Amino acid sequence: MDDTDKTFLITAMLPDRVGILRDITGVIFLQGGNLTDLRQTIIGGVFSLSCVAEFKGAPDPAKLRAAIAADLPEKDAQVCIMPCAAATFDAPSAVGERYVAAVSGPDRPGRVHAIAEIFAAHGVNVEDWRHDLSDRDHALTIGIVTVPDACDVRRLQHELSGKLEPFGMAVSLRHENIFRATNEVGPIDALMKAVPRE
Amino acid sequence: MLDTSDLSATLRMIGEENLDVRTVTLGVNLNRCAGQDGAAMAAAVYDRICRAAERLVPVANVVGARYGVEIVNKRIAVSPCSILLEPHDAATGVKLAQAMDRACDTVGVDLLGGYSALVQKGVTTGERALIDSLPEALATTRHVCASVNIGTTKAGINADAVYLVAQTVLRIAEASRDVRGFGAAKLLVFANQPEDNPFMAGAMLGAGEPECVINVGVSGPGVVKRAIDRLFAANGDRTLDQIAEEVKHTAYRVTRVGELVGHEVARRLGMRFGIVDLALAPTPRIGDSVGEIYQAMGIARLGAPGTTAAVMMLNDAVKKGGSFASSAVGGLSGAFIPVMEDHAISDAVTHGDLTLEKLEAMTAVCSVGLDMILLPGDTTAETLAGIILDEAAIGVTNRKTTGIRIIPVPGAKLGERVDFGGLFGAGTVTAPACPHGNEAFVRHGGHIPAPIHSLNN
Repeated sequence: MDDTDKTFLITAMLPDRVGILRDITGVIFLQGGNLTDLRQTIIGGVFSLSCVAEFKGAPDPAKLRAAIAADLPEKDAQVCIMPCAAATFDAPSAVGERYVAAVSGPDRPGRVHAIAEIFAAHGVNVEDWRHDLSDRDHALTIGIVTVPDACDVRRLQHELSGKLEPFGMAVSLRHENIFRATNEVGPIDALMKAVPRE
Repeated sequence: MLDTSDLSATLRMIGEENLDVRTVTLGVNLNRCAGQDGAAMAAAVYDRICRAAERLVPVANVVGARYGVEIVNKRIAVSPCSILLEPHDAATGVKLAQAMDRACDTVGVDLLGGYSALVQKGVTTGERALIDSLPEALATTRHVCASVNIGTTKAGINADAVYLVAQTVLRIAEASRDVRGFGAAKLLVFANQPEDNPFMAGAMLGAGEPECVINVGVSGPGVVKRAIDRLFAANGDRTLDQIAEEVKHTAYRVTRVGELVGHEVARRLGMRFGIVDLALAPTPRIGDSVGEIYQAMGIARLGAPGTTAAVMMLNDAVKKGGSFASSAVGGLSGAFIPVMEDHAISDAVTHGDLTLEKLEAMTAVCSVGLDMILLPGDTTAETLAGIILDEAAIGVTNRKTTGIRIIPVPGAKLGERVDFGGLFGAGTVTAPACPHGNEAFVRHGGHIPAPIHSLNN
């Protein structure tokens, strides 16, 4: 038996209500699972969960999915189970430094795609992405991305600006240390590990 | 993990509220360049600066781009040049200043400080040569800034030096008459001059400093002002201690940017990181003003009773927030009140709300002193010396730095408008309410003894 038999990526999407997390994690627990990673958010009123769980035995993925779905009263709940080795989740998709991309300005279709297209072309991996439309005249998109070491950041910044600024959008790409420095309490030295000596 | 509000707060500070790193200043010790041959010494100084600062500007630009933070100025502070001038005369001093000016052009920095003399207890040959050279040195260079320290809490005030410097300020202004006495804007007269100050015109590299060091000056008055605005927008019923807390927390964030940038520039250059000067240094831009902070705090007319208390509160809160944010705080650190460089303070002087006397009172609790103040062209050396003595007395007695940067504008009358442009800003010629009557006191010369501090009421 390898890790693939015991470790599963579990996702669930359904209209939000109180108690969904209790219901899903309760089934995982009863099936002998231990959560090793979990992200949950609510997007547009829809509860969205992604988690990784390791099981003592080797449960049948279809039965596990059915057990979770059966415990949810919503008939339209979308539950998916994907077997995967634990190592898969630990391997980074890109090696480099983390930056924060921010785009603000009037909302228009295709803006996230435009950014994502440039990032993909430069090998930049998007790790977290938030799109705040509470003010449509000043929609804010913030992404946490990993920029490969070989990538020319200034060129990337220039390319992003060139693509988005003609549409009235302000774009920035800043190393995450500036955000950590201004929001976390701790010695700056701890952030300096990745800085090369020239 | 950083949440959206944290990310947004940082983005707002940088993108909308004028947060920048005002200066990354490279300290360079020049003492190894000393020699009897003036021309050879000037050449050695040129080479020394060019080699030490060769990568300063490109590295600072890379770091600025990495964090998306503007490093507005890249500057150099050298060890006091009077040491190099001990065996020389004023003419050699001028050549030395010009060599440093050429070095600034070569490496691409905008200002260099440290054309300085420390004369609080006496004036040596080299220090006298430097002071005598100032009119021509400052009139014939674009980047060189000078400073003279005339008093310390330990030594008292050298009144002979004060009178000499006052006379020299008039000569400097006259030598730069064609630019309205601008040369005097490049000279700071200090009491308790800090040895690690990265800000101009008073930057220098003190005797106890490393061979080369990176010091950083952060700014951000706009960030503090907007933080106070938001505080009141959320709830208009705020107490002064709540305002002070908001300033303190904001100063923490601002200073951390300087700490980060300074560490990284120093690391990339293979040099030591020195200090962050966590000053609120304004520029003439709207939204980048310390005076606007006092207005946001409720002092609608700067100069009204209560202004000094507001300065004290702001200065203290900035120091508290900044000192926790940085591993090494130094320089001047606090709230600057340079009249010409701050449109709100400058306007208050123009309207007559803010007088020279009130400014002097504010300097007892701010981080610097009487800064960038225009005086009439017929101001006497005795009046200038009296202003310097008063300001030095505040610094020496209170164990703090006070700086004096006053510009007697040749030919200018009281109330006249003078514009230096750029970061130096514009202002209105002002004058002491009682400019005369101190002549005998000033001309006594000698030395004001160091104050006693055990009987401190």
